[in-house]
Amino acid sequence: MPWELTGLPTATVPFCLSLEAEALGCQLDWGTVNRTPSVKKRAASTPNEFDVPLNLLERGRIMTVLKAIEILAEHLGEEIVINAKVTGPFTIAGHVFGVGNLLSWIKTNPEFVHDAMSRTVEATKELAKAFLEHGADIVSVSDPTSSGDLLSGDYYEEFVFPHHKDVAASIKAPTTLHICGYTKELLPHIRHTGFDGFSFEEKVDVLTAKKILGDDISLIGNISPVATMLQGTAEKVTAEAFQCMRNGIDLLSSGCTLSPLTPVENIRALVRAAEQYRVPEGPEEQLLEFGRGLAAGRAL
Amino acid sequence: MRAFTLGYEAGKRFLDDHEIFELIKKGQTEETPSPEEKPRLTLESLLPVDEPFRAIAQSVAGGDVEAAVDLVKMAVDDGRDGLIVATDGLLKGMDAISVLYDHKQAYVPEILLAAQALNAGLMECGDLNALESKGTVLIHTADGDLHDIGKKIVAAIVAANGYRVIDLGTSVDSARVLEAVRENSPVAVLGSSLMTSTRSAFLETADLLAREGIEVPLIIGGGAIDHAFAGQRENMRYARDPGELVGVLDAIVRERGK
Repeated sequence: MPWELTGLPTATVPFCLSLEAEALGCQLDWGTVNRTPSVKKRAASTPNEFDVPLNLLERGRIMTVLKAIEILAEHLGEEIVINAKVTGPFTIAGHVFGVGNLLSWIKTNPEFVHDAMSRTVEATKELAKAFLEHGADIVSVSDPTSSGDLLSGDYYEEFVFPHHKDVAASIKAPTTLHICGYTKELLPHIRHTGFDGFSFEEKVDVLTAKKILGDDISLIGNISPVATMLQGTAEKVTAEAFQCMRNGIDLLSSGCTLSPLTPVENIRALVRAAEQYRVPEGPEEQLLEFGRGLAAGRAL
Repeated sequence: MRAFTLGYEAGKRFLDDHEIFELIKKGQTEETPSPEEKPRLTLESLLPVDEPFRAIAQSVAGGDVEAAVDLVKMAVDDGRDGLIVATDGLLKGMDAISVLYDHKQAYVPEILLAAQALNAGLMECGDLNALESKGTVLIHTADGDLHDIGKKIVAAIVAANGYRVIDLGTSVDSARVLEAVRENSPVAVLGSSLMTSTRSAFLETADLLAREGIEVPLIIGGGAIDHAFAGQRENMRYARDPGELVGVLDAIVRERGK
């Protein structure tokens, strides 16, 4: 069993963020053996010349992904969690209309952004629904273009938040949101999106995120996919994993997608750390553990 | 035992005492202040004092293409030198918004708009060949990397700081970089990579430049790059953000002038 290589209790498909973009008419660069496909040319210049096609599910590689989910569910559905990944509406909009256009419209033509988002969000929702119908257990929505590296908290609230809320409400299964990079200024809004978990990168430290997100949404992350998972040793992975969990991470994970060149022993170390960590029971013990995390963080 | 008690106390306070939490946090991050801890700036304080340069700079910083064009036209019609209008007005505006961006008080939409206003304004300044440039730089993203936005921002900020920027585009291979270097004799080649899987292209480019005996440094940055990676080649340098990059470039130019 391939998943026995790493021990990860989940299987995630698909692997790239271009599935929707391809199906919506973007041209792709197909990448290489260690590089995922990415968007080469946008599909449209203005929102009114674009609509999600009625036969979305039959386009591009979507049928293949649906088949993959079926096979996973049939063979491993009892043993592991099947996690289907869909691309968020802002990232799809960036692919379809060009990120430069989309970001400029925020200042020059906000109506365009709202219009674009109200169209692309339908693709996210439709795909999530289809993935669940074909046997996925959970859906993780990935919307890296709505990162705080590109947007302020206010922009996120105005242009992205309502659609994230819409997506979360439409998914009738456990669902998580992932946004890359620096997301601290978005957290006060993300807290209220309705997602069950939020996955973030090490640019935001766990304590800060916990402080802002509270107990409204589970914290997922946030071991560095490059500095630790790819380039670090298994010992480094273990140490950071424990620190993460003490600081308030609920679901241990790398902060973003892993490089295909990540050493398997580092992934195993991550899984082992999650298995070995004793989750504190009751508020008193949780507090204690949290304090230990604080103290250890200080000593580092 | 001490750590235990300390931890417990700190944890307890975390829940009810915001200030103490902030203090603990500050203690933990003393060596690397996070961007949000930089002091708040106002755009007004960053703009030139004298008119019409102040208004021109403000139009660029505010990303107002029409105002930038109109104000520059007016200034030139009034008999002002297009060069002066460009350097003391337009570029100062781009500079101001870059500083705000650096302090996380402006975001990518603002930078993109300001760059548009800057370019539109520059078109009205007449012949800018005499515009004193600190030197030419080439900019590109690593072979295989199609992330354009970060590169555009860096290009705009570097240009605002007095460099002539030639944008080679995204996913540029080492042979094309070499060709462009031969054509333009830049002071540096800038490269960005946001995907770990594409960054090794920079090693190839650095090696090719070295093999061809070209002593132009390759300065790289972006999410997939760090000091350790850039340290693998002697002719490769790392810049964390546009601000740091301009510092590195200025140092290179100073070094050359000696």
